Parts: sequence; C-alpha cells; structure tokens
Amino acid sequence: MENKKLSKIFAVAQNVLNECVRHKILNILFIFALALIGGALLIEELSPGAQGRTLLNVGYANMELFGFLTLLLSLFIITFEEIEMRTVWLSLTKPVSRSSYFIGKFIGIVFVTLLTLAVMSLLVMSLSLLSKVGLNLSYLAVVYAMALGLIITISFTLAFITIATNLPTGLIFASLLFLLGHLTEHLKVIIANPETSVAAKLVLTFVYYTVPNFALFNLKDKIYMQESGIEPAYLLLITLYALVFCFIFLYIGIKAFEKKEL
Amino acid sequence: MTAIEAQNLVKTYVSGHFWNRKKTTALCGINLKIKEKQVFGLLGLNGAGKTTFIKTLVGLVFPTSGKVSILGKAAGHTEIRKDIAYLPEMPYFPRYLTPEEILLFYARLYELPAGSRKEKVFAALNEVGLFEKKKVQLKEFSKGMLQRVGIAQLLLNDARVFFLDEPTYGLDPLSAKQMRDIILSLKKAGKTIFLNTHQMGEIKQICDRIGILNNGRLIDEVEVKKITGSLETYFIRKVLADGK
Repeated sequence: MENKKLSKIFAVAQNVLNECVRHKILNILFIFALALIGGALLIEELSPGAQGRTLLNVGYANMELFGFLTLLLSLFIITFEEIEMRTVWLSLTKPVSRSSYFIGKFIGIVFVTLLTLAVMSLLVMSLSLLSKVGLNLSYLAVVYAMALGLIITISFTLAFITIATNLPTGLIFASLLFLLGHLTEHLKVIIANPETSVAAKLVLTFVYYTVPNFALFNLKDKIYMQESGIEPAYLLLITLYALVFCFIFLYIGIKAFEKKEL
Repeated sequence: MTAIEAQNLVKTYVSGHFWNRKKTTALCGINLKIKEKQVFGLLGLNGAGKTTFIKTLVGLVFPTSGKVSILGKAAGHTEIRKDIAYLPEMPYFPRYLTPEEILLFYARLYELPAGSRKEKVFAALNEVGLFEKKKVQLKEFSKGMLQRVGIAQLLLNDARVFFLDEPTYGLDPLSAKQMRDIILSLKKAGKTIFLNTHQMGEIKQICDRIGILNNGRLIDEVEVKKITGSLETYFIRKVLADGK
C-alpha cells in the first residue's frame, strides 16, 4: 500500500522533472547562469589580490540567485499548465490523493532546483581548481546550506501559489517572504533598539520567529569571517530548522490543495 | 446496481473579494440515478451546468450540499477513481512530454503492473491512431490529436464508469466517427457511460437515456426510445417550456 503511494509520488515528481528540464525558458536561464559563473573567472583575473574570493563570491551569489529563479520559474510553468491549461484535471481524476500529488510536485521541483544547483556548484568548484583558489571541502557545506534554504523556499512558494486565487499573487507573496527571510537578522537590531515602540517590537518579534531566517543558511560569509570549517552540529541544526519549516509549509499547502476546486 | 447517484446536489460558486462576494448557483438540487451498464446523455444549453455536474461527479469540485456517489462510494474517493475514466472537454497535457510518457504516467497512477504498462499504452495509442507519433512532444499536436490522446487515456484502466465531456469536440468527421465507434464498443462491453454533448445525432445513436439540464436544474429525464420525432425539437421544446 505504502509502496503504491510512494510510486505515485515519484511518478508525479518524475513528470515535473521531465517537463522542467525540457522547457526552453529554463534551459536558457540555466545556460545564462553557467555563463555568468564562468564570467566570474574573468572578474577574478581582473581583481589581483582577491585570492579567489571574487570567483567564489560571484559564483555563490549566482548559484543562489539562479537557484531561486529556477524554482520560481519551474513552479510558475508547472502551476500555469496545471491550473490555466487544466492539465491537472486528468491527473487528479486518477487514483492519486491530492496530498500525494502535492508532495510529488514538491519533490519534482526540489529535484529540478538541486540538479541546477549541483551543475552550477560543479562549475564553481572546477573553476576554483583551475584557478589559484584551490578546492576547500567546507565549500560543500556552503552549497548544502544553500540547498536547504532553497528547499524551504520551494515549500512556501508552493503553499502560497496553492492558497492564492491566482498565480502571480502567490508568486509575489512568496518572493516577499524570500526577501523578508533574508532581512530577519536586521530585525534583531531594530528590536534591540530602545527607541522602537513596544507594539512594533511585538510585531517584529513575531515576524522574526515565524519567517524563515535565511541568514542561517549563508555559510559563505561565516567561512570568510572565521576562516575555518563549519561545525557538523551547526549543519545538523540548520537541517532540522529547514525540516520543521518545510513540514509546516507543506502541511498548509496540502490542506489548501485538498480543498481547492479545480 | 446504481452506478452514479446524485441526491439534492447543489453547487454554488463564490467569486470576488471578501468585501464584494458574489454567489452563483450552478446546480440546484439535482437528483439523478444512473444504473450500471447504462449510457446516459446530458443535454443543456451553454452555461446550463453540464461541466460543473461532471466535475462534481469526478471529484474536481465539491458539492455545496447534497451527495454524489459512484458505484456506491462517495465521488472523489481515491479508490473509486480506479474504476472511472474521464475525458474533459478539450483535454490538455504537459506540452513538453510525449504521448507515450504521459500515458505511462497515467498508467502508473492507475497502478497498472510495471510489466504490462507499456503494452497497454501502446495498445491505446494504436487504437486512436497515434502509435507512430508516440515520441513526438505534445506541443506539436493539433487540437484533434490532443483529443485523441485524451481518448487513449480512457482506455488504460478498464474502467467501469466513463465520464465524457464533449468527446467529439475538435475532431474531424473521421476521428469523430472513430470516437463514436469506441463509445459504442464500450457500451457493448457493458460499461456505464455519462456523456455531455451537443451532438443530437450522437445522443440518438449511443444513449439509452437522456437528461436535460437548464439553469442548473434537471428539468427532464427520459428514455431515448420513448422520444418520437426529432430529439432536437424535443430538447428545444422542453427548454423553452421551462423558460430559458
């Protein structure tokens, strides 16, 4: 019974993956991302004394940006086809539960995003090897943390576009949350400021604890600052943090999808 | 045995924002029983509620009140979907997949054994004349060809109840005849068929009973053989008498 359920979830995921990797817009985006990362090598050559930081900075910034754009576009493409083109009608009248379908779609988008991230990080690491930067294993931790951040983003974007009455609204809200998640560290400073009113402090504290804190997944800066590796305990902690947020957002998304009329 | 049953089925759509909610009743208290192995045709003007009714039966939308059941189980139940097949009006598929891939995906959802999936998919593609195009991406397909892929997916799971919404929509005369032949062969095989169509000839040729839906109400239900004269005249007379 459980095997059948899993098989259906992976069938949906495989379908999403196949559809996305063949989509022209995503292919162009991917090539563009690789070209920009490749261009980082040139910038590195033009920045004497940077000792590889330019290459890694530009490389990782591009990986995060294009990882985010990939997941956003994949979700847009898949959801647009499902809802506007009604492709979901035929799938959901087959013996698959809406929760399985939703999870399958989530896994499919995670596959697409991780695949893109893996190729981009391979390129960054290859370029590091080719240049004077060399390869440092702690950079794998940077990519791992980045992937966790992107997986959380997929879960809330999927939840938002399911709850929203139309696709653009869902994507706008998801992008705002992504942005807010990158600014939550700054909220701490505002909360600590004695001039901030009590009401504002309460609201900001609520936001601080309910919005995913993406600064936790930015290991790049941590490595630069500490010039040392990352503790495995920290990686475990952020993995748990990501799992909790994913679970909450997926639960909300599934509940909304189960009630959604198509 | 009753294959399809609707009891006091009401469906109301709510649209607009929370400060400007608008309610539209698409189905008002429909009661209908369709026996197993029967072919039932639902007739109605555009906007009468035919598609909403079929979508409620297959579980894509939920009743506001009332009950809907298929083969004795609540419509929309995952298990019951093993026994049904649905063809929407103008089916769409993921554009970058091929007919073979999408049908294999559906076969997997239907829990067909891995060993026989390909065989079943190829047989269905052969039936609708698309075997040679099995590796062509669906974005290259015309409306009629997509409709044929839609027909092929109907044949995968040996369903007991078929829901067909305008099955000959967008088909050329030859393909439309092939579609009618497929429906007739399903009828011969003892399948229950629920058919939404505007084609009176199709109804006369295929259906055992018809229902007329007008403004969300089922205003008439009759056996096709009891209709004397033209079905079109009968339909128009009923709708006009109900007050369009």
